[in-house]
Amino acid sequence: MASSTRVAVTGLGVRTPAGHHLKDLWETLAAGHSTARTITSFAADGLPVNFACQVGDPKWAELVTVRQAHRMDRTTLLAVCAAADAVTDAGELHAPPERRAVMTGTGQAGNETYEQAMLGYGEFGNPTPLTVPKSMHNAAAAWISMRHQVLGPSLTVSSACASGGHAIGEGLRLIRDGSADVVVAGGAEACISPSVLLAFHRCGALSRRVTDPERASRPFDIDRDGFVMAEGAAFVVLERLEAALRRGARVYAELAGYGRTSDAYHLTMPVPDGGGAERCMRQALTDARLSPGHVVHVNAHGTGTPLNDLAEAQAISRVFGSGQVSVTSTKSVIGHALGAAGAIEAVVSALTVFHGAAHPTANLDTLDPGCDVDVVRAPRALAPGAVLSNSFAFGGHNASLVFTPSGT
Amino acid sequence: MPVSTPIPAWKGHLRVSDEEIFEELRSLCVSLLDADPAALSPATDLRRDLEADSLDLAELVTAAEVRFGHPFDFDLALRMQTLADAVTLVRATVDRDRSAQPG
Repeated sequence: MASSTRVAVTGLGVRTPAGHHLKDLWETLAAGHSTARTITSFAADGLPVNFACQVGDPKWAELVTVRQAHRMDRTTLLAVCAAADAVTDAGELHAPPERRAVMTGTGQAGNETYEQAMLGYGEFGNPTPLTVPKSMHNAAAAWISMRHQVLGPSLTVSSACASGGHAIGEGLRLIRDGSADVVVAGGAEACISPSVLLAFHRCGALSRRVTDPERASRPFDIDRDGFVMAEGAAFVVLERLEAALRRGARVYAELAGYGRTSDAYHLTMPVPDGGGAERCMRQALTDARLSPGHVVHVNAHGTGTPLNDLAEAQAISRVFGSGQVSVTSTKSVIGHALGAAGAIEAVVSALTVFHGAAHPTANLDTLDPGCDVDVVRAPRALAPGAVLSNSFAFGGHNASLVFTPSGT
Repeated sequence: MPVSTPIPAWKGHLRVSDEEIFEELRSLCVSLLDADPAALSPATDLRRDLEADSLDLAELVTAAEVRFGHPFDFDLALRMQTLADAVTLVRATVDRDRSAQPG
């Protein structure tokens, strides 16, 4: 049932392949050039897929000590940095510790830590006392709770590539149901490794365009052949709109609606007609008390896999009408950061509302005729209205978030 | 900062001196606890001076096991106060294992 509590997005923080500052992220997206590159951070020569969208130096030294970083997997480090930036960005928050909450999402959690402990060491591996606390899925939530004195709920959701979207949606619910006054919510992922690249390649999910990585992520294009792996983290600060306005906070957007559905169909494939995605978008709109006509833009899940884009485009067409709403894919520029993707795209969607403009989808040379949607090819000004962000996942987990301009 | 690969450099027949044990422990404190090597002495208190908690001590013990190639009495190791205590523990363990070797 839709809630009468209005929730504002007042802080944003990121660690992405397009930079760690909102301005850098937004400008890179607006330029519409992919950040995918051949991997140089480890020996990837022998791999069938040797490119990705990687995050540069996370620039953590100002935010965590060397000893704290030693106890964090890279995923956690990215999360803690992005969350800290989001809290700083939100300005002075007045919620007492007991009324604060954190909700994180991740797919593979501390994969790097786990691989370091297990690979090359025989059947027992070589775990250290830090292997479990560094690799557990809730590690980022734990660190964020400690850093920001969160004494209320601290939880983690893991729904593969929808984790970040679900984390923010569940954060919205914590505000609405009175569990917390301020929620730091987002997602993180850092699992670009030979094993994980090989694993995704072997299930046929990755683009194989090794000779031209910058052209590899091409959502909705007729020649798309899979997604490009990425890493990153993004967090938002959520609070009641009324409280945000009272303290004079800058409101990027309202988080007005959240939908979550399941395909209940297949471990990796979406329902071919996008039925699960359609129900998810409709549920999010109902939750936001909006009709499809109120939506001016969709930030698509848009992975660039043949199956996702076709199913998602069909679902979007059914909900909004053919070509009736502009659609873009952030993954065309910064790749697919798996459990972080939904959170990064929520940040981009909030910025889309805030700036009143949509960024283009990179590498769209020829629209797949099966995808009957209006894909943004150049930066486009938007009429004031709602922006819907989709996140779908292996396992058939779907999440949709609806952002609206504040004060509407 | 991954712990170095498990090469049991001191295992078996090698006779390791207390000074060598201390130097190995010093290097572990630097890599695992971000300690200033110049500030470390046998009198250094692991908890008070290096702010080591139980997880730090467990990590130190595990890394030392790998470095010296001997399993330590974990409960005893967690009761160490100073680096000198740690040297004593390693010394006792190495000597015990040497004397237990056949021949």
